[in-house]
Amino acid sequence: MYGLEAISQNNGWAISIVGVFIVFTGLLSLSLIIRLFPKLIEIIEGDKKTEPSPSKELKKEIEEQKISLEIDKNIKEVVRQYRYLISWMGEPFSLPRLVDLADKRGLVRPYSTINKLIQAKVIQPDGKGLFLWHAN
Amino acid sequence: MDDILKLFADFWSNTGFALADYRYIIMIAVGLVFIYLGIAKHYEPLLLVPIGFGILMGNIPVFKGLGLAIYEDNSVLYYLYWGVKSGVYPPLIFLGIGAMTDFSTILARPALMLLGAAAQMGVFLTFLGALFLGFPPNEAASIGIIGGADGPTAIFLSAKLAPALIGPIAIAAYSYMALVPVIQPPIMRLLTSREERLIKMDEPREVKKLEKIIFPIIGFLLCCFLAPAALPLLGMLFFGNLLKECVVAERLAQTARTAVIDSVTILLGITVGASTQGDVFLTPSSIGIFVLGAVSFGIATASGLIFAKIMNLFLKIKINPLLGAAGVSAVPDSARVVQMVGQEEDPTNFLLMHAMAPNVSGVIGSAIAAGVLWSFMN
Repeated sequence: MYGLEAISQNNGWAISIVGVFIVFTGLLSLSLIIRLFPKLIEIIEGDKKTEPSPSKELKKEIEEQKISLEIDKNIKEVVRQYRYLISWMGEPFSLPRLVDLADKRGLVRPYSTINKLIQAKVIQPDGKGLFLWHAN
Repeated sequence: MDDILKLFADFWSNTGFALADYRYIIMIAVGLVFIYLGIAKHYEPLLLVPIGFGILMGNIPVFKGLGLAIYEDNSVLYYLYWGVKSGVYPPLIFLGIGAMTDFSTILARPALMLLGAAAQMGVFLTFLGALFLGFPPNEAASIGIIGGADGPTAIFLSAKLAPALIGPIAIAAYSYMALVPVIQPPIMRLLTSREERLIKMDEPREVKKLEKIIFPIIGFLLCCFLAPAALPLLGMLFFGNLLKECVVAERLAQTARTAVIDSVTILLGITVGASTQGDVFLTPSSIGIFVLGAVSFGIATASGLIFAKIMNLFLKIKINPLLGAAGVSAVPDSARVVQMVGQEEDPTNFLLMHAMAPNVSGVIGSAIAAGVLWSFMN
């Protein structure tokens, strides 16, 4: 049997509609429960007062400090590894290519490291879609 | 002299050269393409290299009755293939996947889980398509699950519903998983505008360790109460993740994400490849499965993208609709493709960690879909 008749005969429409509904229900209910996790954790961890959340500007400042501290901490090793890769690639270089190379060489978390290097302005865009190395 | 010549003639008639027909040669060529794609193009090498070599092993023409071929009782390959036919290997792979997956992205932004659900539309639409083409319901369900882009799930469901189709379904599923970087980008560009592809996502919130420990337990209970037939897959997935997150069982987690998953991947790859014996594999239904698999994968990708755009109609802070394409559960390839397509537009846009959320929820979604189909077919 072929065609729409085969679908109807084998209850295909109903199975598909119910199947999609169940998958959505499962993941939707899971996502709703996950939304409650922070509150649940708060209850589990007791009545520890949460510190007032810092303003957006302060958050940004803290984040920048964190990044700069982290960069300072690992700067020698990160700079050495990435400078080596970039000198091998030549400048200006493509970011996806750098990520790919770093990944292939087994460097830890290349996306996040390169992101931090960009935020620390060690890697800067050349304005034409490629990037330059600006470590001093 | 006659005896010597007769021995030579007998020997010749038992060699692969004498027993081969065009179907074996075609399949050997397919196996070589798989090996080439894995080694030279780096498309899912951990899967394509074992499967490709398995195809070569399965298509050496052998004399029937010696107990060599995979479909002959008591052959070594027959016993190794038992893990596929019985559905034992896929849950073990899920154990390893659970032990190596970080679910913090979905914990930080649970709304993205819906993209993983939307991508499962491909499964059910292809199920309808397969019924339309005249496949019986059990085979149609097994073909539909290819749209989930999850090899172990496709093998698991086929083993339960259509054991005769495991070979073509597994090969189709893994082929499309390997071709994610080729298949998905055109669909992604077609269904999104440049402005949409440029949308940057906010940093996700920090997820506490306790949340990560609670998640696999709650996730397991909820999903398996809803779709009990997904128990073997989701049970192992969430158990593996609990081992990883609870820290105290790190040794077990380490074994699950290395020795267990690697051993099972080798066995699964080589036996699935070997099951594509030319005379059994090259049939019109295999071609139908491949065509429907491609359609299924395309629909799944498009469904995720379109659903992300629909979500944006209601969200104050828009999400990048490219994330919808990661709803298919090819982990982490489709997330990488999202990152790649996003960076083509803006090299400073990092979507990878955000794309992991729909990607891992796609794994859960496709396992639920498989469980639902299995229970409906029984």
